[in-house]
Amino acid sequence: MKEKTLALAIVILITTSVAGVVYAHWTGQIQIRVTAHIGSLTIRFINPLKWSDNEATKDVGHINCYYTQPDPTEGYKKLIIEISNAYPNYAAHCNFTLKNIGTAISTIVNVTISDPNGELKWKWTTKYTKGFLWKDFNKNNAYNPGEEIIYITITDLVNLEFEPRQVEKAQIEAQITENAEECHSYGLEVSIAYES
Amino acid sequence: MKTNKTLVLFVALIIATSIIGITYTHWTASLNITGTAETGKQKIEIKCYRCGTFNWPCCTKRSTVTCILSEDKQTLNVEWENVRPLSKLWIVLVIENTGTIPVDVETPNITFNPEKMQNYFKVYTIFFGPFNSLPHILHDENSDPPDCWNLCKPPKLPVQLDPGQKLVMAICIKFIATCCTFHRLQGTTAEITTTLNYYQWNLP
Repeated sequence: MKEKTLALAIVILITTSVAGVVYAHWTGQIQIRVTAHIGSLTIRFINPLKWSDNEATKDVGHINCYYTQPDPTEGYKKLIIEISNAYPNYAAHCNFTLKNIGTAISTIVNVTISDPNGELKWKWTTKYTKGFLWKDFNKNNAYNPGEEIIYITITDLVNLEFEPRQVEKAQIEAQITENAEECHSYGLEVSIAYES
Repeated sequence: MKTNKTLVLFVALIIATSIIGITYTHWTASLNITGTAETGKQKIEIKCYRCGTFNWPCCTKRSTVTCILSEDKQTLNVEWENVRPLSKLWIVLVIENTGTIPVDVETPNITFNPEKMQNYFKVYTIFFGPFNSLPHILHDENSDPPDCWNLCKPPKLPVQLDPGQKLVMAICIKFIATCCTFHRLQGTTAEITTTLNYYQWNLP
């Protein structure tokens, strides 16, 4: 009887081990690998970049435009405009190029212009395209005619949709008014905000 | 129970708004254009000058002249003493565009104080130039003005002066009062002001 019990135990053991092997042979794994590439939202300045002014006969005022802060992927993050020896009615314009180097559709939602030095204030005459930086000469905290310093005209970019790899050309023009002071340095900053 | 529900709702709202905030931040960006505009300088200065008088050789009492340039080089003050009939004063000065933008120099404006004195003086002005380097001016105060006075063809006004360029301006003032008038005017003073206006070269 004892032997019978032992034999049964051995048989069960062998059976279960065989069954285990069989089970192991008949199972597998299926994997679903998902790689999620998050869309990137990046508009950059790219070449060509050109500039000129309104001087026909004499070369008095000067303008220089260049890009800084290169993006490792493509293009640049910042456009610098330098105007020197300007005088009333001197106008200089800079033709720059924008490219959506990201993978998502981007839309320009706002353009703001300001003076980083805080000396001048901004006023739009035509929203997002034309306006002027003015100086509060009479210190009344309000714009009065005769206080315009630099007229700015910029290509209308707001609500412009950029498909990935889309390139758009734009222009910014600065014109010095007769109210500008001699031997003076004025600053301006244009911020182009975009979103997806 | 009600308090717990409110708390859960509040926490859920905070989490939701923070997630929205993070998402929004990730999906907006901006590009920047930075500009500087430096304006030039519009200025003309008197660089040098010579003054002299012309008197008839027979005159024993000669008129004399003293010229002093103001510190800002914008005004030449001339004291012409002992003016007598037929006395002549000449002033030659070099003006230079010391600014950074071209200017147009206009015809000078001459005024008299008192106004009636304009009947007794005759003022001539003439310009030479523009020159790129400083022209030589004779330094003999007893001589006539430079020969060029009558020989050179003066430029038409307004004269355009580029930065660094010079213009020679010569002024001759003659006292034309007769002897009778001179006796009547003795001891009086006349102020003659010659103003040279200039403006940006490309103004309409």
